[in-house]
Amino acid sequence: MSDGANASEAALAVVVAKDSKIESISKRELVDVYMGRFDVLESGQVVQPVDYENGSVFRGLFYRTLVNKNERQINAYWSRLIFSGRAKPPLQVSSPEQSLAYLRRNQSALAYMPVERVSEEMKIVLILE
Amino acid sequence: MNKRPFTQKLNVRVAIIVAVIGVMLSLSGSVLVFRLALDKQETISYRLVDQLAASAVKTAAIAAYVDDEELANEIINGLMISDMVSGARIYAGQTVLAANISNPDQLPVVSPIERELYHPFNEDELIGELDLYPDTAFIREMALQEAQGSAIQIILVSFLITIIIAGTLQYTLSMPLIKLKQAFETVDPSNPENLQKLDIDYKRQDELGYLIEQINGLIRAVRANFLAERKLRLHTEKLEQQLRLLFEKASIGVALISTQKGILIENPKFNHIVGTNSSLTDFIEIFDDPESVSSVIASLKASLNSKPIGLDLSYQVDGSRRWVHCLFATVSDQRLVAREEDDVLFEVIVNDITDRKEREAEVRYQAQHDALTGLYNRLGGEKRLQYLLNESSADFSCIFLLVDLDKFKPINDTYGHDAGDVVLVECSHRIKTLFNESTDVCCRWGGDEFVIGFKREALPYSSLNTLCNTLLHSLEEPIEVSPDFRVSISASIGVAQIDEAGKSVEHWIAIADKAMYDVKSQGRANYLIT
Repeated sequence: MSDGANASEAALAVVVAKDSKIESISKRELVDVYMGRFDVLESGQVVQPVDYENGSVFRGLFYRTLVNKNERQINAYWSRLIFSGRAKPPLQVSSPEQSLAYLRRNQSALAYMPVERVSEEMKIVLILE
Repeated sequence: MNKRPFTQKLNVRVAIIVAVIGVMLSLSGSVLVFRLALDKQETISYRLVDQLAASAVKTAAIAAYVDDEELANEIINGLMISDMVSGARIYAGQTVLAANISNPDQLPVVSPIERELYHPFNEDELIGELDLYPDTAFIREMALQEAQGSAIQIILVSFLITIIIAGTLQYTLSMPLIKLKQAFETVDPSNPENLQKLDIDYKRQDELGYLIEQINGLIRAVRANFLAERKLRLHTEKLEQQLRLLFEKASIGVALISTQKGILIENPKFNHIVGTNSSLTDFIEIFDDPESVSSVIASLKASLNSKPIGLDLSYQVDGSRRWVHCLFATVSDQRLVAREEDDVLFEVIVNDITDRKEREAEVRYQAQHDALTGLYNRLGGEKRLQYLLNESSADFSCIFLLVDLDKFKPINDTYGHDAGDVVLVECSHRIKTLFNESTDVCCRWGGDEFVIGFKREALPYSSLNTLCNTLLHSLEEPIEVSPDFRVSISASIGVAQIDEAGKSVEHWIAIADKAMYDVKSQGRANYLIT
């Protein structure tokens, strides 16, 4: 897990597809999107967040950085909402490759990954440090 | 045993007081407990509702955050399960996300418990509100029930405690007290002899035990006192009886006399001897010599410590003279009578000595008189002559005559002693007839010798001669020895004129004797005045 240790120190980049209409996103908007409050940005663009599976290396870092909660707390949060059906948790993938694949297919998709994994096909909309 | 009102009984009063206190305590206690329990129960209920709200806040905040009506309704329905909640409402921003009010009429009067809902990931951002309406009617009802239960408990406990206290008091205090009272009622103070100590079988060493002990001590003391008193009284009565007997039956007269109040007490013998005298003066006056009695009493008055003074006193009763020995003594017992300053108490003991006095007089008479002639004998004569000498003075002529019968011995020898005695008796009679003044002393000096002493006021020499002649002639008259026989006798007389004081009887007798012998030697039957 040496790269995990690196990842915890590294900055995370919030990315969209290269040709997505989303140009930037505020941290507040990012929270509302990932915590299921909104699926439309203030600019009016629909957004589809992509998350990693439970126990993934970046996921803990992401939520710690974003809302200062650990994964278990995030899971508990979603378990409260899951039965009402009003808010849905983000789509979960197992790796940055899969999230990239999803970005390629979906213009409104939004994902996060370590900065060094960002490729030319992606556009960084926010850096989390 | 007098019947007292029911409420006057101690145990009843104590029970009533305890009951009143118990009722008051339980009532005030239950009211207080009711109030406290009501307040407490309401406080608890409101706190529970508040806690209920607190427990729902987090989820409600999430519901408000994601604007999840479904979740909000679920939360509200969950809250409504509680009996204490009558309504709940969740706001997201300013709009109602979900609400459930069971009794909307109640709302205006009940202020809700309000909880603010914050953004789950940003605690500074207010995103809604949770309002919870407590079911005040239900809470009050529950609190009332709870308070009533507490109050009833208090009343029951107070009632129980009251009964226990009353019972304990009755057992430990009232019952022994009543027993003590009943035991005390059997005590009869008018019959101290049969006083018995109280025994109510009380063993404890408390105040009551001490009281019983003290009462028994008192009863013992009263009884012992009574018995001692009675013994003393019997003793005193016996003593008094004996003293009275002694006093009443005494063979001597006893009287207690006050100089102020007269005779205070006297015994029958006293009355028998000196009669009944109402006053001291009467008593003094009955004696032949009241001055002596008065002076004795005066001397007793003068000195309280004077020794008893005895006096032989004579008095007249029924024409005869009686003699008594009176012993006067002061009585210094101050307790007898409270007396005034100059009042003196003295006792008089009177003893009739008339017989003794008469016997004494008889003896004295016999000692001083000649049995045959009845004149003084030599002993008595000397004493009388001495008196005469002592009383002689210039106003009186005092004369001693020594008379010796001439030729008396032949009469004795010739006619016998009886005849001689007759002569002596007759001569004595003639002498006595001539010298019959009270101050005259006629004595038989011895044998046929007589001495006559007398004093006369202004007796001239001639008169003395006449007197001597008369005596001579009287003696020379024939004497009838027996009816048919007479004798004649003469006498020689020596006369001594006492003209000098301070000389003894013997001196003057010797002078008369010498004169008498001169007459004898000159032929007898004559007198010689020297």
